[in-house]
Amino acid sequence: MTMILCFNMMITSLIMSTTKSTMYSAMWLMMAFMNAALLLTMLEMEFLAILMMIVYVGAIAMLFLFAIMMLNLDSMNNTHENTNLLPISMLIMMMLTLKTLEQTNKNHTHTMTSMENKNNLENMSTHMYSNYSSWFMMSSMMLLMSMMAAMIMSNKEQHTTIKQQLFTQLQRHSK
Amino acid sequence: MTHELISTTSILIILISICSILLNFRNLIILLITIEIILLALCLILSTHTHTLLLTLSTIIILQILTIAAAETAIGLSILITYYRTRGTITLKSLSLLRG
Repeated sequence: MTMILCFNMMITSLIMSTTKSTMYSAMWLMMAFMNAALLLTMLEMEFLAILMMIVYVGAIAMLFLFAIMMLNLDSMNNTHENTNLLPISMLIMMMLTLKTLEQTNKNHTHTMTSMENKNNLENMSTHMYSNYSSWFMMSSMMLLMSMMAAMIMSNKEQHTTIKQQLFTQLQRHSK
Repeated sequence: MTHELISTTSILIILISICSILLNFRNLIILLITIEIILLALCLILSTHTHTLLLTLSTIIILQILTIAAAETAIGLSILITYYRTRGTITLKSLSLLRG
């Protein structure tokens, strides 16, 4: 079962980067997220699987779909531009593969164990609310900030509204 | 066996996505989508770490990565939309005002 899911995930990520239409890339992204959620369920982390479905597929993929709908994209836009960067990109890819293949037969040892006989949600919550509560608050602050930034950036500038200018209105020699 | 399988597929997905970022000649949205796939594969590697080493810190790091990915997607898409409003296209060729 994990073999099928891993194979599916690789195939969906390959298809996602090679389709001609942008809407289909967002659809294949959703399929990749569903496969990852099923893989997390196989690893007995069911809370993270459901959280991924809700947050990623329910919010982020919908955001991608709405953004793609708002933009007027040409689907046959496959001109070969920027091919002068191809040698540098091949060099970067080779270096990355060599550095990842170096780490295959090494013994990485960790010494910190703190997991008892609980399920996934209880494990996370005992740490999140006591030891790492500042991380929790920081992540909520970050989400608030991103929401405010998205709302401010998407406003169109209104040139027809009249606003108060208190200092110039209350001056004695105002024009 | 499953842990090694999942971690090798995640590493392969990361490499394939970096390759698709470097060979992307179409859109800026494909770039954002492949960055999401990279973060998803990272989450899978950390979850195999949680399962093999019985380490709860990896799960908490996965939660932080999820929030960071969501915030980054929202801000990236809003920047993309304002860029589209000022420029009219989102091809990669139009990003060459500095002749790069």
